[in-house]
Amino acid sequence: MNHSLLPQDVTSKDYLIPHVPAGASNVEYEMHEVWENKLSNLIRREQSEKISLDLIRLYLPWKQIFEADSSTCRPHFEIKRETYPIEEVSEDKKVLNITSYIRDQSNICFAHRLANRLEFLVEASKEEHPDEVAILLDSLRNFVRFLQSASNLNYPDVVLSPSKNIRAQWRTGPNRHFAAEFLTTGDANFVIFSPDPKHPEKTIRLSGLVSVDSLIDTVEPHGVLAWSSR
Amino acid sequence: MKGDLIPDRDYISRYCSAMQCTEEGQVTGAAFQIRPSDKYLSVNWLEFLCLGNRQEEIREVRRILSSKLTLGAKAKIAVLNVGNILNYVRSQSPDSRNLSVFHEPEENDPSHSGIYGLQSEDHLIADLIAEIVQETYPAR
Repeated sequence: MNHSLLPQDVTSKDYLIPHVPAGASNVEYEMHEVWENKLSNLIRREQSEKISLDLIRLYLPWKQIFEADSSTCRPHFEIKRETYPIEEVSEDKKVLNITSYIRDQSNICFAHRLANRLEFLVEASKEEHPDEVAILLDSLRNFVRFLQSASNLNYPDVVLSPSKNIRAQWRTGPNRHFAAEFLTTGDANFVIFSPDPKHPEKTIRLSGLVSVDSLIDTVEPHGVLAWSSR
Repeated sequence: MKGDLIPDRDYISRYCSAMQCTEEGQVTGAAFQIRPSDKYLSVNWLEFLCLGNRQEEIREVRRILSSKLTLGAKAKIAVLNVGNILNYVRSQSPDSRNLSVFHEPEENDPSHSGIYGLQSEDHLIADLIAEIVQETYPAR
C-alpha cells in the first residue's frame, strides 16, 4: 500500500520511489535541506546493504528529485513507501558476502582456505538446521577483525559453537591448545592449555572472557603465540 | 530407568556435527558445549542397548538419531568412557569439577542420557572432554 511520507517518517527499512507528477520531468528542482540531510544519512548508513535508496539516485539525478513546500516539508516530487520489491539480504547471504570479501579483498594470508572453510560450515549448518541462520554474522565479523589485526597467526581449526558462533582453535598438542569463541557482543571466550613455565611437565589450564580487542594481549603472556603464530 | 547413574565402566556416545569437527574430522570441544537453555549434554548409553558389539551399538544409535535429527553427511558419533570423563574432568579442571551421567530415556530413544554439571560457559571443560574421545564413527 502506498502512502506519502515526510522526512521524519522515513526509516532505513523503507523502499522509496520518487513519484514524478505529469509534466514535471523537464523541470529542475532543488532538494529541500531536510530531505537532503535525511536521505544522505540513510544512504551513507545503508550503503553496504545496497538499500533501495540508491535506486532513487539512479532513477533521477540527485539534485532534481525534490522540491519542498516550505510550510509542510512535503517534497514536490512525492515520495512513496511501497512493499519492499527486492528480497532483503538474508543473514546467510551476508555471511557469504563476508566469505567473498575474505577471499578476494582481505589481507588474511590464508584467505582462500579460510573462505572455503567458512562456506563448508555454512553448508553443514544449513544441512542440519535449514531454518536457522548458518553462522552468527557479528561473530564472523569479530573473528575476521581479529584475524586482520593479528596477522601473523597460523591458520586455525574453525568450527561453530552450538549457538552458531565462530570458534577458532590453534592446537598442536594437549598442552599447546588455544581456542577462542567469538561472540556477537565483541567479546571472546578463550581457553588455554599451555606448559607451566616453571614446571614444563605440568599444564596450565585457564579460560576467560575478554574483548576481542584485548584477546591477543591477554593470551600472549601464556606463550600461545609460540605455537599459534608464524 | 530414568535418573539412574550410569556406571563408570560403561560407554556413552555423542552426536558431533561436522560444524564441530576439524577439517581432518577430529571432534573439538564445541561438540561438548551446551546451549544456555540446556540442562545437560545429550548422549546415548551404549550398554543399555544390550547389543553384541560396538558396531551394532553404533548402527542402533544412528537409527535412533536419524529419527530425531538430520544427520550431517560429515558428522561423527564420538564414543567416550564414562569413568574417563568424570575422572579426567575432576583431575584436570581448575575447579575440580564433578560431572555426573544419568539415564534420561525418551519415548523413541530409550538409551538417551545426559552429562550433568556443565554450564554453557564451560568451554574449558568441553575442551577437556574432547581430549578423551576414544573412538569416532561416521554418523551415517
